[in-house]
Amino acid sequence: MKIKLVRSVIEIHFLHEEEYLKFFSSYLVEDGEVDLFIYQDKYEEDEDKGERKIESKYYDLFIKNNQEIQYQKDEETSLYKGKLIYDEKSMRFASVDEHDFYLIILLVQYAVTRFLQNNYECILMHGSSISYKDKGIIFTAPSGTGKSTHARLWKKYYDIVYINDDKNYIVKEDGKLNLYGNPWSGKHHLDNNIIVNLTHLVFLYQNKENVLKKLDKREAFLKLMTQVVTPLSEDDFDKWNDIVDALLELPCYSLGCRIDKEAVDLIKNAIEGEK
Amino acid sequence: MKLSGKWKLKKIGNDSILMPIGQNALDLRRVINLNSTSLELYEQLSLGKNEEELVSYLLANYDVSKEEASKDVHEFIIKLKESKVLIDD
Repeated sequence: MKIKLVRSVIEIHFLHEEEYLKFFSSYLVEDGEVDLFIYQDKYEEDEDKGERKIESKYYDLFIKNNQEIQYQKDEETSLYKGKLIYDEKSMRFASVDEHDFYLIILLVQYAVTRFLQNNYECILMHGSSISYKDKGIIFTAPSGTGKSTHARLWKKYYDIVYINDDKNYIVKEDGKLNLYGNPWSGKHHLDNNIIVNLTHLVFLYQNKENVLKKLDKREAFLKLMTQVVTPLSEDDFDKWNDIVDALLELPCYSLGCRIDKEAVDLIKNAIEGEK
Repeated sequence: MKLSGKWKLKKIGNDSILMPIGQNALDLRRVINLNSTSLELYEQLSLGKNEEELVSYLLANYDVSKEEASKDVHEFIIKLKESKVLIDD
């Protein structure tokens, strides 16, 4: 199948394509020169994996013959359950269970993210994003805080469009930050294939009272750091730093909130009252 | 000793922060704040200067005694080594 994400056409060859048509349905395209190919292979684990560069709870990243190979782990057993080979123009992945839907869409997402980071000024940020009037707002917080719940309150009371309920591709282009819709929108599958100018970041936390505070850049950076993918190496830092600095130019707020309309109005009024 | 490459200097307005990158960012969820003097010392270290040269730098630029400068530089270097900002060659 062919999909279009940001401004690139990506052709994905699944072993069982029919299982993924629905997931990617809003992003399918018929034509267009392909910028990236992604192939699913039968799983084979290499005896010699090369040199390990990253070790984490979720995956290990190895370098072998100048290629980066990511082995995805089962979080409970730490056994490898899939792998992804990064390459400029054609990425390859495989999973032990070739019908493992969530693992497979995750591996495709890693491949796409790497490609977008290499080809655009692009950063991936965790959070629930909405389009309200001409504004693009990301609500972010550690998992379980209530980002989706807060975005749903906006939907209930105001005329908004969901951009993505979980993952946000932010692209810096023509001096602006644009949010691009993508299918990786978490368990509620709330996403739309739209492009919205990103204008605000809101860091949420649960509180008994609704409290809004405008953050200075330093405060915003320390919160932002935990919600974006940070650079893998020194070489990636300058590009990352440039887009993070652009993000910190946006108005950033911290909102201690209850689940009620007052919380929504507090941030809405602040945004609309900005000079 | 040399910089490990596991941290990068992030400047935000007048603030300077060392942030972990790569594997280090996965292991650590913290940053190191640098005040103006420690930023200057860090910049000297990134130029490849050694402990003795850092002490001379402080003596040339600040009104401090040799003892104070040596103590401050030594403590700063130990702190950076503990966080693996600096490693031995």
